[in-house]
Amino acid sequence: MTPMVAVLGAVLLVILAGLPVGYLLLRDLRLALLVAPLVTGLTATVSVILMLVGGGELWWWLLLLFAVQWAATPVLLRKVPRVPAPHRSWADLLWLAVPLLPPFLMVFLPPVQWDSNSIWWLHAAYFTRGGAMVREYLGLYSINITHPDYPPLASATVAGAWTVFHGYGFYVAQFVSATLSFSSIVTLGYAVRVVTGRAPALVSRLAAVAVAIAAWATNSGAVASGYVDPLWATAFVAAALLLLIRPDPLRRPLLAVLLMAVAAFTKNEGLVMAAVLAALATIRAHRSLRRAWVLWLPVAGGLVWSALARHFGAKSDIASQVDIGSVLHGDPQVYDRLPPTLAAIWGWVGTIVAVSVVTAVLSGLTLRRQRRAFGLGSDLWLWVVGVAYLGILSMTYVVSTNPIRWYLNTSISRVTLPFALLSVASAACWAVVAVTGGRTRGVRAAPAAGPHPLPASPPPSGPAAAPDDSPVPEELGAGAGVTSATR
Amino acid sequence: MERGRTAGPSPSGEHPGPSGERGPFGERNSIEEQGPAHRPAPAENRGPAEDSPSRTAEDAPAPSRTGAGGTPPGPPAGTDSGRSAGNPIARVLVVLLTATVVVLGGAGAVDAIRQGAQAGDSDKTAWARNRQSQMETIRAQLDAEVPPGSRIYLGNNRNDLWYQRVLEFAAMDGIIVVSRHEQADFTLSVEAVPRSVSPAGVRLVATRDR
Repeated sequence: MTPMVAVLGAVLLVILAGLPVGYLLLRDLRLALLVAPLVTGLTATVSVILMLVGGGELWWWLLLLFAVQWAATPVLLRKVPRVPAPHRSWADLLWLAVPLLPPFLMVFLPPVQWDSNSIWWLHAAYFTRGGAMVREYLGLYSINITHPDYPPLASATVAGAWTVFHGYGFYVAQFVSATLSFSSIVTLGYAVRVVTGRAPALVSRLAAVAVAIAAWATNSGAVASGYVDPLWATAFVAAALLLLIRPDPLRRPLLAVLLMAVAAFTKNEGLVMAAVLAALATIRAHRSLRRAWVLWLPVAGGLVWSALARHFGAKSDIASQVDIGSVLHGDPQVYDRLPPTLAAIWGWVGTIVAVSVVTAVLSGLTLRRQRRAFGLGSDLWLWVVGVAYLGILSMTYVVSTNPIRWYLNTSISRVTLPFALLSVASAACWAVVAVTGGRTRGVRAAPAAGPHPLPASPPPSGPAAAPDDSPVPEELGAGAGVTSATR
Repeated sequence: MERGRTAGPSPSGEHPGPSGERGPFGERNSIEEQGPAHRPAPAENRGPAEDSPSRTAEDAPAPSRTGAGGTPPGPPAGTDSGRSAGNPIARVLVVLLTATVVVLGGAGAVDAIRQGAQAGDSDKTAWARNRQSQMETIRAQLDAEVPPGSRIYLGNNRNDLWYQRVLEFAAMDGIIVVSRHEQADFTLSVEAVPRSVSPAGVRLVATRDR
């Protein structure tokens, strides 16, 4: 098998394997294609966990779990009411996916990035060797510099591809990693499309593309080369938008939960931020707490991995280095690390965050009512998330015993991505409100008095039934005399 | 933030919902509270095979709290009636500021396109291709010289590139890297050599310990 056939086969495998569950979640084949790699990644993650606990080979568990998914999907499709996700036209799909393809050309560069090989593909390699070997590897002193405690999603997916396409091809690994990142980035764009879906389609799509493209904002070389920071960051921000900006996020939370799980199973900071997001979303949904439990499933799953990895001897560089006493006693040697950390964060994302803050303040002062009328949740949620991440990230650098300059130089460009994404997402939502003036797509001003000019609406018991002075749904058809001033 | 607003239409035409429920930051917490503007997607947004009466999750109206019609009383959200679109100067400023944010956020993607376009340029990618060649060389030598299942000790420093690459290649072969010399079947190190010795400029040195 030629390397290119293996690469194409692996990418197809990662997409097709997760398709049934993707379809079950979104009830549309086009949208299912976008999220299918993330489903595959989560399934591979569960397979690795089961292999770690139950032993055996990875491919057994993969085969079992995918067989169950494929068998159960038709049954579940019949039992669960069909409620397709919105914005699933081919136009939407192309708007979301095509602009992302050119930056992904970097996937053709030689697969030699340091962390991709030293962490993610190394973990993938021993995941293919069976449960006993994985347990031995997790506790090896020789590999503890490669962070064996890191969550397994990216590595598990590559390992799954390698169990089918033998030979441990680095290009296979790079393309599979990039497929996961692509899926997560395009889903971020889709989340923006959903949140701003009441705007005219062009405005909403432009906002979606603008936010998705920001996945390259801080380290353009990381997205398609096997690094996982863009994967967790885009999944996390997408989940944050769906849970904190969309009205009634718990009405259909599964996509957001899937994205939170991707973040929690991809990197340790993703797990911490998934917990923060779950807490914020729970606060936001304080009137329907009974439905909020589902938001904590990804956090619980991430903690299960964390506990298992530590049980088998994996050491966390942060947890094993941190000196809580020094932190609590205000040791100057610890807190001297804070200024360079904040300076480095500012250096990478200070400008974009500052401009976004100015945008948010100006918008908050002048367009808040329009935003509310438009149906967007408060922008403050995103900034609370950003401040929480700033605290967690700063603390991570401060408590580490790694030389601070080296530590910052080797990582800060990647880990600051969530700030850039949150900034662009915040500004994009405000821009949608500014462009639309808070008016929503498909409606027009109601007449002041007199009979409605349109034919009767659907039956009063139907969901689209509306009083006579309500706006008119555009889907009734332009031919029926509907006009749209906001389109 | 505007906490504690009561039910009923606001001067701006907004409607906070029958119960006046708002989240901690003053936003509406549910679709039910948004009035009839939250409707099925327009035909343009529906796929060709979506003519069934089923509705999308986002667009399907919520159960009514007010009886027939599913619409809370008062002017609906999202309409023009009685509500300003906002200060036009502020709106333009917000769009311009957002454009700045988007340009700042999108610069990396432009850089990625530029770098990706050079993937086929052997001059621009010479360093990476050389490293790839070195990795393939060391990996092939490890395959040839150390049987799967062996235990090896690495002589290179732990922070050295080749220490970490040999770790990776060893895992692919089911080889265990031990941390003490006396536990090892082989001791390995990677050293730089003239290209006349190895075209990649590096080679694996393996010594059998037992």
